[in-house]
Amino acid sequence: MKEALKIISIQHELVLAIGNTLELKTMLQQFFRVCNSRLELNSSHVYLFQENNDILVQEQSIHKMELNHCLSLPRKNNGILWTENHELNEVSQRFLTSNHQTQMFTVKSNVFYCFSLDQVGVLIVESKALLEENILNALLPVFDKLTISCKAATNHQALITEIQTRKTVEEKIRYQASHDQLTGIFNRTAMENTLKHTIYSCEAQNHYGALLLIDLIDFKHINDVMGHNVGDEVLQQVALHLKTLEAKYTVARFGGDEFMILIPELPRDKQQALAIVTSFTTRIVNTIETPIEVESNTFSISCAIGYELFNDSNTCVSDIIKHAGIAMYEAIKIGHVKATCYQAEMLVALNNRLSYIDKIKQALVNNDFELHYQPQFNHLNEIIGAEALLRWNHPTKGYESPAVYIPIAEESELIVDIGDYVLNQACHDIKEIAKCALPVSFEKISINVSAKQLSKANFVDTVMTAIDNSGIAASRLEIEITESIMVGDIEHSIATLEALHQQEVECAIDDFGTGYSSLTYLKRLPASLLKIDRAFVTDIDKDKDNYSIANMIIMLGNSLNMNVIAEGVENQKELDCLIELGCFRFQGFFFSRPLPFKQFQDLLEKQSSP
Amino acid sequence: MSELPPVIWSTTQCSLSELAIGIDSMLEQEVYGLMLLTCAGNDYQESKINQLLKSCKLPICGGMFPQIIREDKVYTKGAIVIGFRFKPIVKNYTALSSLNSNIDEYIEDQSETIEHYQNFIIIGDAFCSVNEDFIDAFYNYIGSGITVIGGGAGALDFVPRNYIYSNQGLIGDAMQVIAIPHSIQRAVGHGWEILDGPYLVTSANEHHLHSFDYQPAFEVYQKAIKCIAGKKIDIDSFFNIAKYFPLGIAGIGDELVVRDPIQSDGRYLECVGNVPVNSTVYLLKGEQDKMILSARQASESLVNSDSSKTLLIFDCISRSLFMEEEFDQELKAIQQPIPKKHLIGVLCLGEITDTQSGAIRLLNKSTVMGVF
Repeated sequence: MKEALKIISIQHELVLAIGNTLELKTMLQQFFRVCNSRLELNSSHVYLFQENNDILVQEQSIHKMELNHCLSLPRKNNGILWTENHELNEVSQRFLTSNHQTQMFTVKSNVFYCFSLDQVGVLIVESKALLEENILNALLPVFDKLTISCKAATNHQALITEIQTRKTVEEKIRYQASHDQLTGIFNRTAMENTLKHTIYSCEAQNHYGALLLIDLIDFKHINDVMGHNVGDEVLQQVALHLKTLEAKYTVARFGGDEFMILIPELPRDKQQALAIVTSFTTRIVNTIETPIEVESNTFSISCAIGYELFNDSNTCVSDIIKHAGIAMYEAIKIGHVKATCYQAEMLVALNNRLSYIDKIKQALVNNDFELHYQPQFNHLNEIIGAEALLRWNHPTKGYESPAVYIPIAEESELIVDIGDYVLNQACHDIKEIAKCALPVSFEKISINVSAKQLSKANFVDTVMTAIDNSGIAASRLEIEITESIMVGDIEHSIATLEALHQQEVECAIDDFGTGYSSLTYLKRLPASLLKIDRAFVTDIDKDKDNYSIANMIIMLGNSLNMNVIAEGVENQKELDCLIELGCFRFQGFFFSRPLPFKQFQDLLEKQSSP
Repeated sequence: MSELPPVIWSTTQCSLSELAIGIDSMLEQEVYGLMLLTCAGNDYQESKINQLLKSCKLPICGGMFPQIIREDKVYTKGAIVIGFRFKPIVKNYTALSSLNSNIDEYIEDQSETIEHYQNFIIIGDAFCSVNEDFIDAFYNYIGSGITVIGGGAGALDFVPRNYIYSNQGLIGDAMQVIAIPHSIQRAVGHGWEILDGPYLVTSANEHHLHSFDYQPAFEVYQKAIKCIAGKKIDIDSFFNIAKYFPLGIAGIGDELVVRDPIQSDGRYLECVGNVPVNSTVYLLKGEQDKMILSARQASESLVNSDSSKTLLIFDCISRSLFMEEEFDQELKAIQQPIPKKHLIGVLCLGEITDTQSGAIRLLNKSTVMGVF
């Protein structure tokens, strides 16, 4: 009777301890506590067949799987974790390979009883004393129940894991769809959605809202010079700084180096709203212009901001973004004004500009461009070359000023097409003048090349193809660059000019002294000619500053073994002064205005006649 | 640090100023931590003792107990101050009853500095409702192969108060674990014998035992005592009669874990310690000679320990209440096999020790002793 009651009591107590929790470790921990206490065990352990911590393996693949330790209670023995106990691990492996349902192992003075938990794993209990046979038999149905509960808990856990994984994936997809991968702030799509709602809420509450578009000025140079990794980190820092400016504002990356900030709930009064936005743009500028440190380099960047105020649901999302963009380009164009509010006139001006670009394109198609040549002379008044100058002979307006169309062409890719025209036409004209006898002093014709042309990967091929197609000597062509190319990818520019130099196409540095020059790079440029800008030549005989600057450029040219030519020479006094300083090459109205090709040809013929 | 025996100071005075003298005397010795064992009946004002504890530069542990033991005598007033020759690490686990199911995490968070120790003294708040849960969780964290002695602090009026000494003042609803850097040899005994049973516990909730064999627990208990021992027990006389008839929870061997029923409302029995549902329990009886013999046998198992060391005893207050004037005989029996050892200790409410299986258990009506 006592024995039967003891067995029933043990079975009931242990089965009750299994409980109905579906969290596997909690369930096992609860069970082990009672099991250890009731059976006077030293420890209890479970090993599971698992692919990972959550999912039980399928029946057919068990033989390929290893047992993974799941839980020991207590967790240590003599201060060492059971997971690090080799004897226990060995017992579990020996039992696994034995294919028994239950087995006893004696290790030192302790007894380990192993029980198979069908398809789930192995249960091991450690006891100082031998367990009676009837107790062991009584435990089998308890462990069967434990097995079922383990399976239920594991399946439940697998289900939860699957649901959580799916949720995580969905959240990730949702996040990726609305966030910029690089900076972690909202992307353009998310901003457009938020803007849509803000437009409606502004109209409903009769508030103003504002959309700001921010461009980082000359950010491309950071990418070009320091690499995209550094550029990316700068963008991340800018994004972070913008995000922390105002918690209520929505910040997004529009693309590239452009960011957007949406300000909701501005006052109903437009002037008050404008005042808030203006004040905020000052904060943005201050934030962005605070030097950024990346990889021990410090970068100072500036920005241009365009913004649009709105309070009308008739205004669509795309219009607001477009207007902010127009205002931003206006700010970039103005330069000294960092933030500009959109005005309707800006759109008119932009449309005019676009229309003008179309006209330039049409002019290229209609062959309305022509090259004029400004001859260059030496101190003996002998013609030594000429600079090809582009002229647009507009069918209705006559000659259009290059000061108008060249900057517009520079902003668009049209400058490359125009450059191609200049190159091919100049080569053609060189071929034409070479047909006649040229003066002995005549060296070459130079053409102006923009930074955009020079940055093209195929620029060397383009030049050499034009030379080959026209059949002229490469040494007859010279390309003129300005100091501005040193601000871009200087290494690429040096390599391009070096490649041309190897093919005997020389290089001149135009407008020298007006831009930013690094003497280190200047030394590395394979240039053979420095052109003193007309600004330093004008009144050189009276203006001490110009005299000094011209003198310094001439000395610099001499020390770098480069020829020096003075531009814009307009009178005898200026000429005399330049000769006195050691400059023997000249270009300017004193010698000749730019001439149409035919007149230039005539001049050459005249000079070549004995 | 050497394994020198601890410095012991004691008094039978109940004033706080007397205890302060004891603490001050310790500061002049080469000791690295203090254990205070004091009588709950002392005349200590909590605010004043807190000042004393907070101002002490040494780690402080210990508690207030119904009585203290000094050599072969027990005292209801007085104090013992033990100066450790090593630096103990004292961990106070507080606000335990508000932890709910987070006790495992709490112990894991708090116990990093003691996790490599193997010998511990545990002083528990006898009235903390989760002290057994704590003991279980602490054992599961620290693991088997450890040695533990200890007991529950409190007073015989069963009123929860702050009974545990710490450097932060007196604390309650707490367990105090003192990690000892030297080995402790421990022994345990109770001497209670089976009178009747077994009974299947069909309904219980922690300390409250609701039914045996599907019958109200008090009715079964009352009936058994009357039939077998011829004693009549009711609610009023419960404590005075029940102290002779504790319960014993059966394991799979012969060992019984004694549970002391301390009160009843006429239906349930409230014990000092949990009684699991579906466990089997026996009704026990005590015979003074056998109980004393059991204590002596425990003491005999320690004869091979270093004679210069001290024996710290956690003896159940109910044994003293059971033996009354004869209780000194138990202390003499303990002292007899180890005459050169200093005996110090307490009469406590629940004893704590590690069992043969390695687990730490809360015992009742037992004698736990340790040499260190």
